[in-house]
Amino acid sequence: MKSRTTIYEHDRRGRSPKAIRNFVWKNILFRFASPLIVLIATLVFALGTFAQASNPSASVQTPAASSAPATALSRDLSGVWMPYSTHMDGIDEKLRPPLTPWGQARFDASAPLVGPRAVAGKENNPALHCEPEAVPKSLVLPNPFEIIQIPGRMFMFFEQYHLWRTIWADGRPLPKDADPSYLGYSVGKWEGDTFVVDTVGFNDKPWVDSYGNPRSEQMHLTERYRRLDHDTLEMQIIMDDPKAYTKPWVNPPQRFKLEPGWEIAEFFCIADEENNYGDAVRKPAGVAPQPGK
Amino acid sequence: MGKWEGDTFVVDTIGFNDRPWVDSFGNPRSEQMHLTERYRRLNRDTLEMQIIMDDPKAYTSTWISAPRLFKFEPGWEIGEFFCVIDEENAYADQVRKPAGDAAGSPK
Repeated sequence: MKSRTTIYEHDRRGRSPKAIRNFVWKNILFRFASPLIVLIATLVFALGTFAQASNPSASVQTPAASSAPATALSRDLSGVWMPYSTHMDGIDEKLRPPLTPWGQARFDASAPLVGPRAVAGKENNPALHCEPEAVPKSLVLPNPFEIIQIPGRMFMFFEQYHLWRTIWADGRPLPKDADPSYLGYSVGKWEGDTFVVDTVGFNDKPWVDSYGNPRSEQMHLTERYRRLDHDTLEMQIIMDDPKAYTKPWVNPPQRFKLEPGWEIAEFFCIADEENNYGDAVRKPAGVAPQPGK
Repeated sequence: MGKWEGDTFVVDTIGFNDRPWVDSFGNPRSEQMHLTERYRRLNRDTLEMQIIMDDPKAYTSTWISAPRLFKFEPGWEIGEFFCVIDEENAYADQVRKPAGDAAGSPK
């Protein structure tokens, strides 16, 4: 795979985080700061006057605070989000429940590219032939995704492997007998500040992580999203797959940073390029060091 | 990038590579291709799209195709249709190659 971690530090124009901050400061804050301050001051003054007139003991409120309780989180998840950590820790093998006999057989048959079970030359991750990894793996890859919300649905566009998915948010139930697929069939709903996505209808072909952990057609995937603040999205992955694991696999939340200046780039998996890379780089280099573990 | 010109949504695209064909018959494209798509919703159920390819490295003049019509399908959902290499190879070995040239293929 290509190393794309530089994206995390530089934007598409190759600007460093410092350069981006300077750009934002000069071109946005400087340009709009003074009219904005005047506007806010006017609003606060007007509100304060109004509040004093109607209730002498009321304190001055900002417009934002008056429209919603201070604890409510935003229900707008739109934007380009980049994982803070590129170690794919949203799926944590250390927290994996015991495998079932079926799960163990699948796990034993897998030959990962990384980790303690990696054997150079024996790798059989289907992703090496550009077979889709899809969710949940796409959710934790070290590259950005974009969320777009429209009435009744949410879309996720993943940069790595140019993958997209639909999450139906119009109140429909999960299908009873969905055809097995890479992405499954997803419905989402708000539970307070948390957007809960449930997915069923998976096939059993991709692994759920880089270490050969399996999934079956019985997997029920749950993702829980909360926008902790303007810049931070939290996602938690829960996999309930009784054919592969003896208990639900509950992962720690992973955090994503809003990247308002980014655009999702083109990143296809091309089998010929993967093979060339394998022959020219990966196989001569032997087993890769285990990333971030 | 797209913009409205009256009733027509005009999409202009540049920045292509020269790797895929533009059709099933091997016609090429180069890095100089400027693709224009013109969309009009003729009525509730019908979308018209016209494709214009301006690629001076591959073609001596602009390739203007006839408009094509699309039907609105409000009850449909886009299905999952991935290209999976192993399945493609298995299909080629079991079906396409034994069958020879596809019968009734256009052109």
